[in-house]
Amino acid sequence: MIGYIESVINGILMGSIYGLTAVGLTLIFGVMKVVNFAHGSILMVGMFAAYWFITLTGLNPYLALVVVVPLLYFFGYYMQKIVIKPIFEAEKHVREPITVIIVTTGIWYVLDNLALLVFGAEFRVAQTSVTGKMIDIAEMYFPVAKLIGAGITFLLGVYLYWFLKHSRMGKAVRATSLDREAATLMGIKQSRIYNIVFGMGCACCGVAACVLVPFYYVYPTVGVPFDIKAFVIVVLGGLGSIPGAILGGIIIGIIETVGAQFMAATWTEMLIYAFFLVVLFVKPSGLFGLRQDY
Amino acid sequence: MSLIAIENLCAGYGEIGVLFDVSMRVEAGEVVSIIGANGAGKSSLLKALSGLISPSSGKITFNGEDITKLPADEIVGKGLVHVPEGRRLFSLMTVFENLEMGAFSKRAQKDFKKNLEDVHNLFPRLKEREKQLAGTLSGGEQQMVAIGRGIMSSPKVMMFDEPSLGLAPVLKKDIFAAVKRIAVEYGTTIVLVEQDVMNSLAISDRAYVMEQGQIVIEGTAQDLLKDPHIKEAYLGM
Ligand SMILES: Nc1ncnc2c1ncn2[C@@H]1O[C@H](COP(=O)(O)OP(=O)(O)OP(=O)(O)O)[C@@H](O)[C@H]1O
Ligand SMILES: [Mg+2]
Repeated sequence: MIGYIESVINGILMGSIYGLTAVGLTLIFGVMKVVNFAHGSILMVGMFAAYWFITLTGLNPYLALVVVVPLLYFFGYYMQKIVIKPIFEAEKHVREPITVIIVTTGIWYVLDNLALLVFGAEFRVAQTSVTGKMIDIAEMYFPVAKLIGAGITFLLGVYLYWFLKHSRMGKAVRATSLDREAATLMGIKQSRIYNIVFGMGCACCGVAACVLVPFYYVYPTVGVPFDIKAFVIVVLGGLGSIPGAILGGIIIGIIETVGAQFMAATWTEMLIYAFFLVVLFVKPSGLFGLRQDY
Repeated sequence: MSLIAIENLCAGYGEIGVLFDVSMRVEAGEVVSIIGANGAGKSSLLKALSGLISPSSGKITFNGEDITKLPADEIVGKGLVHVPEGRRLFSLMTVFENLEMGAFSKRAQKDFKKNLEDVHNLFPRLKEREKQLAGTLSGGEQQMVAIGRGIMSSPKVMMFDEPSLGLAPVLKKDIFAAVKRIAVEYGTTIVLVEQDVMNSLAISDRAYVMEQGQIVIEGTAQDLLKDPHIKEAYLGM
């Protein structure tokens, strides 16, 4: 019995980190109605940045947050401003902008291959003060890095909630996601909101990257499995829904770790997609989805 | 000098032209109606004024300043405020948050308290409904929020696009009364697009009639009420 409780909790810990990457994706989608296929690659960039920061400085691994999160924020901010915005504007009158999606896919390939070119295909593991450490709570064992990761994720969730609910900019972000044109009439500059939202979506990856690096391999295509999970989670939770993304992440995490008690890891993947299909079948708009027309 | 002066304006959506050689003016303190059949281009004219569509030729000046090429988010900041057709509230935000969004521009932030008082004065019900999600309000209440949100933007000119659309006759009267009060009590200049020609001419000083993207008649509200073409085409008399 205790073994199951242990794996459920471990699932929640890992799932919250999946949820975190999904939050970034859903935030961007919710506001811009753009699927950022480069999301996993941005996570990968963040992981390499964190890896090198930790390896070169030898400082506490979580200090990497101070560098990596702003770095990815500005990376996303300027990626939207320089690469995505011009395409977006060219497609202003198009109801379902497709080109932007192709561009984010392009960015994914460029980033992954650049990483391969620069760092090579090898798997790296950062040696940090928490790597491999376990903690014993009520006769259950948990990796310290995952506990800290989930804690940081929780704090970020609280911050995002506060930002969107109460800050002036956050409200402008919500207004934009509800009605772009009406928001413009309020004096809200769309391109600025998009820059900020893209920056924040990428910053979420930055946080996820920093909490992953102490216990996860770093390699050029590390973003892909996270990316695929993030897409599943975003749709599962309801497109554009932040609580949905977090809950979806946790559910996926639990299925994965509890499933692993009974079967091989490849089968748990299947379990995830089976669950995903069932949810879509029963509630096509996702767990927290609104019947909103995107 | 007119507060708004439009000279030979042409505009449209992408390649499609919708407004052709439109010229009009609005003086400070006036209530000006724009009437016309469905698809005449009334909403498009307001969109061109507020910067939602950019003119292909012609010139728009506001308060002596050329705003033809200014983006929409900056035009609001000048005090030219557009209350769009269909209300366009932020449905999943509360009434209060909607009003806050109206006050987003720098100029409006300064007058937040005073404008909020004005809104509550005009529509006491919005104070009661402050915490309700805008999407769950009745049609009449939603229109109040849309107008209130416009007031929060500190308008010099308020442009209403069919504010009485889809409302019961009693509510229609309330909305026209509110528009009139905004003009009289706050001295706000009003541009009013309406299908309800009788009610809108009743509170207007002057009016323009649009047909197929052009201004075809202009005059004082009283003269237009007597005009045989208007009587037949728009008043059904
Ligand atoms: N977003 C758009 N894209 C393309 N064409 C448009 C768009 N909006 C309006 N039009 C076209 O522009 C013309 C004028 O429309 P507009 O909405 O300005 O008319 P209106 O006078 O406001 O009509 P109504 O009284 O029905 O609101 C119409 O032929 C319409 O089809
Ligand atoms: Mg219209």
